[in-house]
Amino acid sequence: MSTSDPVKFVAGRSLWQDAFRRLLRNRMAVVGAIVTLLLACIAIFAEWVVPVDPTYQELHHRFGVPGQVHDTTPERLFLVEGERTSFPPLRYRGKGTRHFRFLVQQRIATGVHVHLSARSKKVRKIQLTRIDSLPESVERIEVRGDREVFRHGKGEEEVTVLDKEIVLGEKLDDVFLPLLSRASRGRQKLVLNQVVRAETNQTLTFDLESDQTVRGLRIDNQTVATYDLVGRLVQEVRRDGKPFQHRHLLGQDMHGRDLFSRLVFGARISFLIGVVATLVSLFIGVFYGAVAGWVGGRVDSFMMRVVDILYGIPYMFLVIILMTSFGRDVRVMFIALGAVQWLTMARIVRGQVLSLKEKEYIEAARASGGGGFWILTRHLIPNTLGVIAVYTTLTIPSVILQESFLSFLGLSPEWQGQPLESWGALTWNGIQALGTGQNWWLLVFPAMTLAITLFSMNFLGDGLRDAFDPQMKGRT
Amino acid sequence: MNPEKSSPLLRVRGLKKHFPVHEGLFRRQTEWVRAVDGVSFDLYSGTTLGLVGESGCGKSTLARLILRLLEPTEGQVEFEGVDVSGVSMREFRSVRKDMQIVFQDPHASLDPRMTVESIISEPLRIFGLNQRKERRWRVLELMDLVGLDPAFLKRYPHEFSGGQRQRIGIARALALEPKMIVCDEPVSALDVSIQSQILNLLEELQERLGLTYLFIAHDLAVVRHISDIVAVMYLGRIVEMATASKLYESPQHPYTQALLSAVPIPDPEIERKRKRILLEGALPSPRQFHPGCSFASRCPVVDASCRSTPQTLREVTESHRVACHLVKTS
Repeated sequence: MSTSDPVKFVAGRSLWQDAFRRLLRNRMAVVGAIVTLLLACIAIFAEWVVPVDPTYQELHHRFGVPGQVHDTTPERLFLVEGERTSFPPLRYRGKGTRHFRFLVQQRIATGVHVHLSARSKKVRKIQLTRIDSLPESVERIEVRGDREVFRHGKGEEEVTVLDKEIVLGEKLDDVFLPLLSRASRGRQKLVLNQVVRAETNQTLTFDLESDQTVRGLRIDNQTVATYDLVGRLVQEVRRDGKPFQHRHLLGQDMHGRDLFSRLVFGARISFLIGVVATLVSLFIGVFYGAVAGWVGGRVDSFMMRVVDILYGIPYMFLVIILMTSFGRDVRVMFIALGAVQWLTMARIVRGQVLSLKEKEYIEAARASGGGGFWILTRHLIPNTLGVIAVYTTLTIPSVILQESFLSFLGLSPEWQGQPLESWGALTWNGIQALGTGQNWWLLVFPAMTLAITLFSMNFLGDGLRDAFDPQMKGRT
Repeated sequence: MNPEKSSPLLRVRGLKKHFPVHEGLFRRQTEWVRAVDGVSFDLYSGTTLGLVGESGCGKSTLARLILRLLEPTEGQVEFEGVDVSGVSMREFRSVRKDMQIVFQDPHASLDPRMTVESIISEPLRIFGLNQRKERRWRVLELMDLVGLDPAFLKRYPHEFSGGQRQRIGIARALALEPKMIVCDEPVSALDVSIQSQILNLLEELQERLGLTYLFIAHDLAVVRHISDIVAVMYLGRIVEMATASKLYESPQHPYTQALLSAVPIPDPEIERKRKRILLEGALPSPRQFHPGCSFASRCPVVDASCRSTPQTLREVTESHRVACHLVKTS
């Protein structure tokens, strides 16, 4: 037999490879695919892309014009007894040394403990490296590590960190607090326990160094007794002590938040809703359609009439009713949008299964002894996958559009009570902002981003359809 | 070839398949389509039974009934002396190993998303026969057997011509080393030049592997070439069955005579003188029930009793059976 010789197998070209080649020849689809992939990457790596935290408000620069550059301004802190005040997170890229300036504007009485805690999910080490321009009236600075319970895995672990008292006059170069965490997910707190007697308008500058991302500082004001603490300012500064400069590429909104950063995080929410709702519809639709197509007969007729009836219901109405009655939780939205989208998916899969099950190769598999499961996994699913993939890529932009539409109506989804600001919500904010002046950028940029995304996704979907089914080219 | 002494490999008795017809708003079952209406025959090991008949006469349905791709309404199928028509699908699985099928359309019978290797090895994988490595050797062996270049192992069906695809289909049917192969019009979809190649391959395989064929076709010349015994089907019934030479030389049933007279002769002189028996009317609907001979409505020699007397196959000469009471027994 000739097989004893080494045979060089000629690699065949599968239908998938064939479709991929056809897709590459479609220029618009390739452009659409690149743009879509780029946007998806931006959505996934949003933290690394944004220059400023999207929730960081600069109230001095409300409605900042696109391209404007300005210094960050010190934040006024209102400390209330027994409550915690968050220092606004300025940047996501907080790795490395960060410098903070603490401006004491008013006299603070002796014995006030101000806890500065750097809170982060992944802090290995926070180092207090330098305290300069110390007010003369400060008698003593006490740096104390707090006791924190670290949670990791199932057990809990209590870690005590270094306690150190710094006496005035001592050089502070080597003072650091190694907050070593074996549980990287635990939240950690550095306490700068100051016993301050300060005069008005004196500044205290210190640096924080961290191996990992620090999402801002928190001022934990626990032991203040009776003193008025209004009017202190905290600011993150550059190494040389000067304030940071920010360029707001696409301008700022009514609260002074950076529009570009908000768009980047909006991409994450829009994409997430698009993908998850599509997956919901995929799951229901494929299962329903496959059962109807495979069983056939009366079951099929009944199942498809149900779909027909559901088609007749004005779906936006349904989604709005669902969201107003079950709350605006994003999970409700996933279910509501998915529940609408699965109808078409079910019809497509049913039609596909119906035509496939009459194919002779299915009969051949049965004649070879293949059971239902074998035929389903080896023949039906691989042969419907192309169509499902095409329809899925076309469903995602349509879901994104519907979500934007809902957000535009003011029904933006929420997660744990926090509004999720998708592109639709940003567009809606832009429309509202138009009423307060010529803030065109707040409408134009979100709307354009949305339009470009939808265009590229649809081009990609159309390209995929043409690639998988060349006979259908040009038809809808 | 003297098969009468041994017991047949396949024994079909009174096989029927009636499809219900649903009509109207509530899809009530109104009529039956009598696709196969009482077929009986024996098929002996190592021989070929040719089954001819025009489109819609139930040839392919019969093939699917034997393989139990369709459930028969009535009748028995015995394979190697065991009645397999009543057993459960699980028990029937072991019979599938010995009974395989080659389909008509080589474009539709191969999954376009599978490579040649996975198509041919599919029956092996279903039955969990060989190990992965052995399986490849077996596939290469089969490819060699049917005359396919083993280098094409990793190719896809759409990269082959019709004849090559049919070879893939044959290799798949051979994978389980069956005793019998049902060939459901295996060459009808192919070019004439390719047809003979495939037919020669089938004959060669029969000789080498001792296969038994149930060969279905509507091409009379093809059937004559390959068959030992030929059965002529009309409206779900066998009207005449004889050895190939007898049937072609002296057809007895009026339908067979008409059928054979329609074959053109590749000689213009003789062709001009050829007398054709033209049948009146169209094929009657298989929905109607015919108490007598189903061919009565088109038969040129019909008489009054034809429409009422049921016709059964009876031996007129040795190994020549006809279902027509007008034919005299010699």
